[in-house]
Amino acid sequence: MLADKQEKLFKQWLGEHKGLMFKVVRAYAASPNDQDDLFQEILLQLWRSIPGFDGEAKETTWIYRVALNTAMVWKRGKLRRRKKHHRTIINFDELPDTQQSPGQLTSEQRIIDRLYAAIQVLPKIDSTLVLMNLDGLSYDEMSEVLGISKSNVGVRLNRAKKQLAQLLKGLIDDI
Amino acid sequence: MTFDELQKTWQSRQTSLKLTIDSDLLLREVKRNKNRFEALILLRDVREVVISIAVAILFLHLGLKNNLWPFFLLALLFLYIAVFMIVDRISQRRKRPVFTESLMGWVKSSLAQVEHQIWLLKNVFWWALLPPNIGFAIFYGYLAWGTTYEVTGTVLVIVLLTILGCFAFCILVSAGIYYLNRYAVRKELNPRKAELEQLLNSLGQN
Repeated sequence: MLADKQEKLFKQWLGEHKGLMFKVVRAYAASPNDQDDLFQEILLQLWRSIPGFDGEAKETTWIYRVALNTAMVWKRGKLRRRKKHHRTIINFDELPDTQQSPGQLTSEQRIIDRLYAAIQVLPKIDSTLVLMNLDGLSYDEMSEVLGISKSNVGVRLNRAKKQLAQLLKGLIDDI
Repeated sequence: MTFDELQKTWQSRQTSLKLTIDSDLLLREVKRNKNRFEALILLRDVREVVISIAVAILFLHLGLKNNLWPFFLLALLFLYIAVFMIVDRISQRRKRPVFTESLMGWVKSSLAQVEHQIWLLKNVFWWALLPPNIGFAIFYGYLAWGTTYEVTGTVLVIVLLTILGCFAFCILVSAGIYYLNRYAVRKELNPRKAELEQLLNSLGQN
């Protein structure tokens, strides 16, 4: 693959799927420093993966695979020597939703924070499944990302959701 | 709250997240990291091979210069280590885990790689330490044997003790390398293997 094509696709993926990558980052890294490090590591692996992308797999499945496999080997606190820049490379901000009251926003943020905290406590595979399920991935896609059968995905996901409900006692009441 | 409601909240909140990325700077950083990563892998793959070949050339040169056959034997043994490492690196390069595999496939290939690394370090005595030490033993034995014809008395004792000291130093260095490798297996590789096995087991559970 030509370098400029690789660069174009990388920028396109970055624009379209940065949210997906950030979810994986937040699920596996807690502190801002760790998140920044893991995010850059995922982007590095994503860049390296582009020449192998032939369009056979869905873009989201491909990116999920790269992001999750990277997150699985990434070591918390083992920060790589990143070059210090005057400008910030990645910046995370919440966009204010004009249709929601500040109170509603705060309560939703609390729910999301609790959810992330619970996901971080779950076993790695379960947290991955919950993450993909929350993102609305189908059983087929989850099975493709993880390399396990669809029935196994179903069984494991149910179990993971029950564990999640235990961790979020009082928040989820239908599992 | 139901799980579906939680899912909706999750998805709506995620769309309100604003990620500002300086893509040009990021691209430069990614390319720089990629180059550094590749240089690191190349250095790791080439370093030991180059050292072994350099030592082999040195002994070959000494053998030709001094016309001593034990030097040729040492050159041959160091060359064997270099060839062993080249063959091993090439065979393992093909099996390297790829980040775009499914998680199951990736964990399996990572585990195979770690197991091979453990095997390599645990057996460092047989493929990396024993051959040169056999060479050194023959070399020092040859020197000691030759000395007995040339000097006698106290001088002979001093020379023999010096040769013995040199050989003991080689053994000591080898022992150090051996324990360093065992330490790396215990501290780094065994925990990594356990972690991957746990991941694989949890993926396989139904």
